[in-house]
Amino acid sequence: MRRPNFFIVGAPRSGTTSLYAYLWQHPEVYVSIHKEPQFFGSDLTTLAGAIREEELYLDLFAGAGDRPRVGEASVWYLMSKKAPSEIHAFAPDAKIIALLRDPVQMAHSLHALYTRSGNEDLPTFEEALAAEPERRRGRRIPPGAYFPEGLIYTDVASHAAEVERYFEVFGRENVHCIVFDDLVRDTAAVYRRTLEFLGIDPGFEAELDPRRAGQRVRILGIRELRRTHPEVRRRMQFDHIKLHDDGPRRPLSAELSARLRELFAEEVARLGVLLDRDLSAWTRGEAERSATAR
Amino acid sequence: MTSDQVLERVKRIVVEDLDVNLGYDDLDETVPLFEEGLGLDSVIVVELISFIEKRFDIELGDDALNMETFKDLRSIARVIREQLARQQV
Repeated sequence: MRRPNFFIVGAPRSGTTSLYAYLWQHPEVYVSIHKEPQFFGSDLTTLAGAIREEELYLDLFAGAGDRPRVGEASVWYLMSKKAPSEIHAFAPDAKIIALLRDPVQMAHSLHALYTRSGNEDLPTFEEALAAEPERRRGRRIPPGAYFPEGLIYTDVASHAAEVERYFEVFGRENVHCIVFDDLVRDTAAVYRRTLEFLGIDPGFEAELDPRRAGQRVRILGIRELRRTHPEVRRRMQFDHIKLHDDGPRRPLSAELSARLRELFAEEVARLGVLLDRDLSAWTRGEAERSATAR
Repeated sequence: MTSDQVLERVKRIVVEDLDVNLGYDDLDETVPLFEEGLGLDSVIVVELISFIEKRFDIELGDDALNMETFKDLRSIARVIREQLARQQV
């Protein structure tokens, strides 16, 4: 039975679904039909769609054949303190891919998703942020919340320590970090570098329009799903994929935006040092302005 | 079996056998199946294929499952008719 040898570990709301669709098309790649199996990360709440049984998890890769790269994507592996060592114990030679986004944009987008999916009952991002101190103590968690950890938005959007953990466990050379802004601005270049990192043909031309790529892999997925274990299919029904599209969001007030950028400034600087990359545009709010312009 | 009869049976499967919140009158055979139209997801479509194979006693191979097949219910009905015709030869 094949084991996965690459993992997209996060972050949520940072382009993982698009990258997954791009990689899926590559003839040397096999990805699990079930995105977000969440097999690792035993310190986190088990999501309804999670596959925590090893036999069932390995069954996700049964169709991999001899394709050199076999992978899955679970966005909460990045946040989990245990996932890096658990993945390493299971697949010591694994390659890790992490997508990282301006924390203000990412957290704001996650809040919008959660208000649609039922994990969040506070309708504005301002209220949700104000509730964080109480939520850290286990209070003001919505009765329908399925993933309470996700409600501490400022933690979820802070990636420096998380990336450091993966560097320590897997070695810097085995962790490929992608900045979301690059993925949006020059998808082809990011895709090519990712294929090079995975050691497979970087010249393959995939459909890189997110919508058309999604349609293309949907057909591949339907064929694959027919051979998938019925229990996996059942759990996939819990996936909130239909809610993933970034729906309309109330714009952040200038005051809140400025406050958050200040709050995240140190974190962003630390991540920039780790990635050897100037991320000061995030602190200046440039991604936010271009998102508003879009 | 005429095109209309095949389409009618496919619509009945969607309404009566699938776990979807759709009535017969919701099923416009010319709108896309997925989120931009009827809102079916891939898992539901796989169930639909299973029911079609059982009810029409046909087999739909991977070649028959392409983007054109899943354009709308009318396209599915056309593929079923083609398969039925092939099996009669």
